[in-house]
Amino acid sequence: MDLNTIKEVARPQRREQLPPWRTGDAWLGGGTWLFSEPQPQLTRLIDLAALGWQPLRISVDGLTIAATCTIAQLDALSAPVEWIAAPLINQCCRAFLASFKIWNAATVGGNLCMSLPAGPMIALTAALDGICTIWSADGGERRIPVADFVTGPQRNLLKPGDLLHSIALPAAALTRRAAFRQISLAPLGRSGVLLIGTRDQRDAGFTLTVTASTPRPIKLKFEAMPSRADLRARIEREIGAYYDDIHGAPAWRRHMTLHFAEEIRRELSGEPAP
Amino acid sequence: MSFLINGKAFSERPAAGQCLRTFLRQLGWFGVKKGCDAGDCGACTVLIDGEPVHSCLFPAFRAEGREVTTIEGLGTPNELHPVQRAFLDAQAFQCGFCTAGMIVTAAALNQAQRQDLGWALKGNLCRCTGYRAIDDALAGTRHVEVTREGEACGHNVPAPAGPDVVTGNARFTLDFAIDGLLHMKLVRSPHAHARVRAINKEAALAVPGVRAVLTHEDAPPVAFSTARHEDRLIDPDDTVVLDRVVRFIGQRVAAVVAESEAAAEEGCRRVTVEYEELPAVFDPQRAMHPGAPVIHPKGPASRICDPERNIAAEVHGDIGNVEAGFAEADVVHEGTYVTPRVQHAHLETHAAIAWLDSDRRLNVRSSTQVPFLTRKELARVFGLDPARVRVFCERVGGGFGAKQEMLVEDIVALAALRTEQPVKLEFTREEQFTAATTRHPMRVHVKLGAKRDGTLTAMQLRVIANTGAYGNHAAAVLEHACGESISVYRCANKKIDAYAVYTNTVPAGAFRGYGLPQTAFAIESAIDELARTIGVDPFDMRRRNIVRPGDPMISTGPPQADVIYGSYGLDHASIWPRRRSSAAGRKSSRPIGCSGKAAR
Repeated sequence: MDLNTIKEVARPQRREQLPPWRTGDAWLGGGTWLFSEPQPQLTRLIDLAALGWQPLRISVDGLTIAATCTIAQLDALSAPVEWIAAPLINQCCRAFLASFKIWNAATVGGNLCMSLPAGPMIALTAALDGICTIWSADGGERRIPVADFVTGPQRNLLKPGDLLHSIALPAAALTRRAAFRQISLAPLGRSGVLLIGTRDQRDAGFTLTVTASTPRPIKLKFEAMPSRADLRARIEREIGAYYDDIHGAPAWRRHMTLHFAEEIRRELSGEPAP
Repeated sequence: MSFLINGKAFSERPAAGQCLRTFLRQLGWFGVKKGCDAGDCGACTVLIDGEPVHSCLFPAFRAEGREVTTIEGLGTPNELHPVQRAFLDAQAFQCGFCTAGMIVTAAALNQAQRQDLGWALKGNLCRCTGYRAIDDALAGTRHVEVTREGEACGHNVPAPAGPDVVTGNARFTLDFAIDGLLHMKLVRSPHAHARVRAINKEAALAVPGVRAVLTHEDAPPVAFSTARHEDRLIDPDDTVVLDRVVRFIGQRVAAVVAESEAAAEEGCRRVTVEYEELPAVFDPQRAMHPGAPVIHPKGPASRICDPERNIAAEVHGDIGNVEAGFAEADVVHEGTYVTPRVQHAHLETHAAIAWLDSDRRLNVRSSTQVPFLTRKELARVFGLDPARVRVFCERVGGGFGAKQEMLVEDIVALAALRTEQPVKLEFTREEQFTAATTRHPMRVHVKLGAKRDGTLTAMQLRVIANTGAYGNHAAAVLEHACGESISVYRCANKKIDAYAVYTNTVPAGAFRGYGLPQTAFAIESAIDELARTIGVDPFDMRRRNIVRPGDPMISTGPPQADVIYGSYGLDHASIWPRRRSSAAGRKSSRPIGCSGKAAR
């Protein structure tokens, strides 16, 4: 919709050209959330497109995703074959409530900064040990793990004027075995529960990342594959409250979280289904 | 700045925060529709360098130097795009408001995406077709037939508007340019029940571009109902154009008219309203209790059934003797069934443009199901000769009953008469949910008695409908809810007590089915329960009790047919499943659909 209080759009091409942050500013990534609701408090948009960040960079260290990389660009990534966790990318893209048309504009960074429990890019990058690089408002730069970056529903560690620049996924995480589970109350609906398990092929460590069913991503690390009972006990101990909104009741979210966690455990430990 | 739209160059400059959707419409590309303005419905889909996007979310300035294709650029009636042809062949549209966006999206799908249409088209909402015909179009199914003149009956004749609908040329309410157009935005109440003490409009009038701020002081004092019926006395006169008392959160308090929507919005933010909050009631059962806040302290001229008890309308009646009927029953089932508030979600929001023509006649171009009834009432409210009022619609983007109301025409008429300039009001999707109308939420208590063989001996209903802050359609919806839902059953003893009750919530109104879905849900659920209790097949239960050819349809009226039917179709309805032989391995079969009464 029209944002009629916007008087100006700044279109910096380099970091030095970023205007000093002031009240009424908003970063414009894909604009797919910004333009979906009235924003009468805003007067200026700072367009990130002209900064020209390379959407995806593959190196021996792993994958660096620019905050401005669109979902469509990420989904179309051709990953090195040894990144056996890469199918998670496409599974997480398909966990969006939004149409594929939105993927053409919406950005990975935007999904992180929205910090909704159901944000599938949060699930993806948290599960793959993603590290956010943030351009601080004071001109500095800091790095924060994705799992810590999101602190609650629509809450994160960004301060006014901070800008999420990129998310780095280490190669070690991308070469882990991975299992994905997701469910919504409606087919193709918003995720009520989204779990990702990864298992390291060298040290056999297991990590379960719980999203959508909890207010913020929860990562549970195990040095070795836990037993059914141990996994369940750990989840029950560490997840205090399940998220409660129209997309799923807490009791259902807890039930599906435990159910999927066990499915993932079996899948990654090679145990046959009961 | 230069924009390339459908192969044509444009040098106009969008506003800084303008989205591509409104920019394209401003340039005359009216095929781009607004359904939600929030990226969910897809009615505004366009291609940017061949990729489909929702133009309501796309900053207009970003389209600079890129190739934009709207439905108009995809094909023309003479040179249809293959997908446009497919939509015509399958007649994959009804109102057609979603069709442009649906076709632009479908045209951009690759073969892989077409394998899962539920997924590929999740960003396109259609409220009419149920998607089946759209599925058919993309499967290449041709439904239309070519017929010779005089032989069309019984054949699939295509809709005459089809070629215009699939090419984006069909004109809906706001697909229309008029010189000197002013835009209206409404200041709405933040309180569920309050008296307006004072309205300060000075700051709003100081906003550049604001031309008028209208309040209750400007509005005619004539009471009316937003519901429109041929007989205006069916609905209570409980509404005025702008009231001194607001009765639900979202009720309009003032209207700001300006040269742009931006200025009108800014004007609304600067209007200050002083309210005296009044006690509010939200539950219809509570609202009927003595001592509850009286929402409409009005006299008999309002035709409100019982203002002191907040009862907008009531229905009472019986035939036979239900007490005797229940005494005669072997089994009695009693249950309370509750249905929620729902909004019609027609894709074209409520909208109208009003102006005075060169003859100084009031013209209102509106998205309405009832242009003539609205014309009559506008003439009455504004004290005009009906011959001096013209209300019309071109193509309506869905209504489902919601547009059997006068929700926008009165206020744009007032503004056009005041400013003597054309004035437009277009509801946002949010306003549709907070300030339009809904289906009446109902609480239906059903008591049924039956003999062991399934024969109904008595039917009793107690219905409480929540009509919200106003009584539009309250009486008629209640009557139909209590009528056809039980008159379809032959039963000697029936009794009904029903109330439509005011609360301080968004008004309910007409909605497809007109009260029947609510009571039919209750009664049919109760019949199922009763059948289960007796151990009778629920279909047998209905077969035994439903009206047979020649039976009168009687609810509780005097002993005469309440509804007259010309032909009998129940035996053709697929609600009667054909029993399969036990050799087929099934004891009972399941319904594959059901038929019902046609909507009014």
